Amino acid sequence: MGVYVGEAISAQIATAFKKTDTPWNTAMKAIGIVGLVVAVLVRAAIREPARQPSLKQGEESFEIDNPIHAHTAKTDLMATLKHVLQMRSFWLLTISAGFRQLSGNVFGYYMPGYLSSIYPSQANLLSNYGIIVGVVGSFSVVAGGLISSFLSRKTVMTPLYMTAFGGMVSSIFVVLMIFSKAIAGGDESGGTIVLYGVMSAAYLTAETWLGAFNSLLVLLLPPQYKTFGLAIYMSTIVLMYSTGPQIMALALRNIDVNSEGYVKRVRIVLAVLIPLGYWLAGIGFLFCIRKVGLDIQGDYVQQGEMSPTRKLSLTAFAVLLGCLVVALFVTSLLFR
Amino acid sequence: MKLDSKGYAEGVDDTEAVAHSSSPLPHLSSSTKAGHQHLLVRRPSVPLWQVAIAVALLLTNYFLAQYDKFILSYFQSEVTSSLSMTLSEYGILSGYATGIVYALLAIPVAYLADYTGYRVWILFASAVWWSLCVIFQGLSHNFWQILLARIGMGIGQAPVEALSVSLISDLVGKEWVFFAER
Repeated sequence: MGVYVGEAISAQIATAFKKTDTPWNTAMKAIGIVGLVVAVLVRAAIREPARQPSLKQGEESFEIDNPIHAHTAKTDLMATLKHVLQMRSFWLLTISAGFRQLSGNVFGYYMPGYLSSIYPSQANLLSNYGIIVGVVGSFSVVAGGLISSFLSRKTVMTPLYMTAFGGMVSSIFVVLMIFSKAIAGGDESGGTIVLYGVMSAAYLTAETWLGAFNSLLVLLLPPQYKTFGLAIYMSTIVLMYSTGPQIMALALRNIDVNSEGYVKRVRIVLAVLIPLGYWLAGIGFLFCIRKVGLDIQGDYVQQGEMSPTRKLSLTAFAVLLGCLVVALFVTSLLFR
Repeated sequence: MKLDSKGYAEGVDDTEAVAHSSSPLPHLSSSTKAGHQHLLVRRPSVPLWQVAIAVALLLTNYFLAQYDKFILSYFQSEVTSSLSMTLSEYGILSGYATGIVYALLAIPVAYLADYTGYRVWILFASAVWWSLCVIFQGLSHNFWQILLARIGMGIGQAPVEALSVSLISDLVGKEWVFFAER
């Protein structure tokens, strides 16, 4: 919920900055100074608490109180890596979530700027945008959690179904958002009405997933593997979703932000990239369902039984992701 | 959350728990862990108001650490115009400038969150660092300056979420931890 409430508050602050003609760099300095004050307060007000034991104690090999912390951590990391390689669903869940977040990242960084460009006369556009994100997003994520909890006795796969089908349905509303002004015949006032309606529907259908999915992922990892398992998951999806803006960077080469060409190009890229990410993620999550079931039963791929295809697929994914990151980063720096 | 007569949350005093331990650090050795597990599963005796302040400060810190990206997205045209940046350069700032840093630091951060006893100090240092880097972004005059400031900011912001969650889970009783971390 913090993500959605945070964006709602941010939008109001950003609107206040805009209405008072506060330049972006002054806003940055203001945030930095407040951050310094909060840092001092954090140090002054919070004492290092004693560690509580985990909900379920880990195996003997996971002695986090071992004085040789770095050595123990390395052992634990390797054990975790081995475990997630043996899990049937972990990597497909990670890749699917990476595609889903890629769409979300592109949406977050480019949609406000694009909408501001096509609705220049709507002073409260970003404020309303933030309110919709905050209210509908919060409702949706809580509803997703409640639905998952309610159905948990029947199936624990609800978050995967919600994420998959929610994203696919939402992609239709996202496309309608992008073309909202054209749907209203070019009228800005009418266009914003369409925009707010379809945006609410887009958030309502898409955002049921985040809390419930994260809970499922955490539950899939045994306690002793959670910390590094989630770190491996985060590390992978960050690399995946950061490719979104890099692709946008290449797609928007040699275009001025205030030109008509910018609006046209961004419109096309947003209309392709966001639904593509939602659908790839959706298909991936649906493929995960059987694999998650096997992991829950503890039917992991046994050590020494990993098929050559599985080894090759995992290696290919790691090499592909690494090459993609290097290639996109270097290309976007060279051809900027 | 139940309070005792002194207004303290029900549970065992942290110092008492540590005194029973043979470990010099605030977490216990394996043998002590087993022997005193019935004590330690109780909530630490941090006053409720201190917990509330801590959670509010951690939330504010987390919110501020995310805020720069909203500035970048809401002020996209102003940022690109004032720094004479291309849209490709804007893409780099919103993509790998922080993404690669987060990815590289995810595992070291997990180590800091679960294997050290200096989380508040690390959080303080990282908050000071990313705040300075955000100020440097506001002072930058071209793409390379803001890119370096954002990479530095990514280093400071990477531990914020993991350390905040780790601290909250140790400050708040287990029955409240899922609520506090929402």
